[in-house]
Amino acid sequence: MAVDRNAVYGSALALFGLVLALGSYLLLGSVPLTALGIGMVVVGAAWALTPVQPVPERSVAELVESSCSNVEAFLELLGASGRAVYVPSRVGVVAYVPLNGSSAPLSYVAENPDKPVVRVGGSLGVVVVPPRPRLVSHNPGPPEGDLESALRQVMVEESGVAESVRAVVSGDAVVVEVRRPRIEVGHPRFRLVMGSLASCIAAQAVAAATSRPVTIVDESREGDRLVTRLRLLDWTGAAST
Amino acid sequence: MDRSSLYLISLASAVSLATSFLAALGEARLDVYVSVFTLIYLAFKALFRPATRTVDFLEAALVASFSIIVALRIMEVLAGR
Repeated sequence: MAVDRNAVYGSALALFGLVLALGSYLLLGSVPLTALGIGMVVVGAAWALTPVQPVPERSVAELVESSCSNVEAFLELLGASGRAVYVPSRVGVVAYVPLNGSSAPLSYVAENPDKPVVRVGGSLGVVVVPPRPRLVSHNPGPPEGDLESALRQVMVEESGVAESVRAVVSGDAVVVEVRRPRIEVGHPRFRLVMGSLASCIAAQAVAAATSRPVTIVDESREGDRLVTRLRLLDWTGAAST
Repeated sequence: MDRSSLYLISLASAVSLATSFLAALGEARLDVYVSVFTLIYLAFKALFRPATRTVDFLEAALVASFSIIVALRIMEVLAGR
């Protein structure tokens, strides 16, 4: 555990509270003062347990924006216009972007995530590493009924890209409602292929949680809410573009 | 203000207010204070969902204390019958 400002101040407050509580109870016999000491222990411990934001939010937004501009340039160069398929693999969720009408089998993409260019039969596509939070990795995730918890953990608690998130699963369709997405990416090609940043991260979270390929069907903005419709794909088939 | 700061300020304010309020009422049972602190902590944690750097041992300690307090109260009631 790295020692930072919160850990030092919180531990100091908790220690002071502990001394106050013990002193008040044993020497003074005062219950309110003892309770005050216990309260300080609670607040101090909570403070010590809360990590300091390692990088300011605005800096993170700029880092993400600049990394997305590279993806934008790459997609623009290739003339990609089909929707990306988010494929869980051993190196995390990757985005497969088909470049012509046909698509490679998604299981092939998952088995070869290190290959930037995927050429199988008559299909041609590229594999792009999307901007992804730390928790989006290809681990056996929770069942689909718990998809909302997985989305909340990735989008709200871990990356903080949205204020809140809700999800409804119906067969292979998943509707995700993101409230107040905090980081937006203005690049048109990126949005066309990868979706908005919030949808892109939501698709990755769903792919990681269900261990199935996911594509963004459409997304719409309603005030401060972003509603994204996702579709779970089968491993046996190819992405329909 | 970020969510973590808001959580810590709200928690500190709520604990201070609860202590002052119970002390003003003349409450002399320590278990009442601990129970209220536990409820405040759990409620604020559920409300703000703050990030934690490690296992939340504070939550475990408070819930354990609360359980012991409740168990003792139940035993008191049963013994009084």
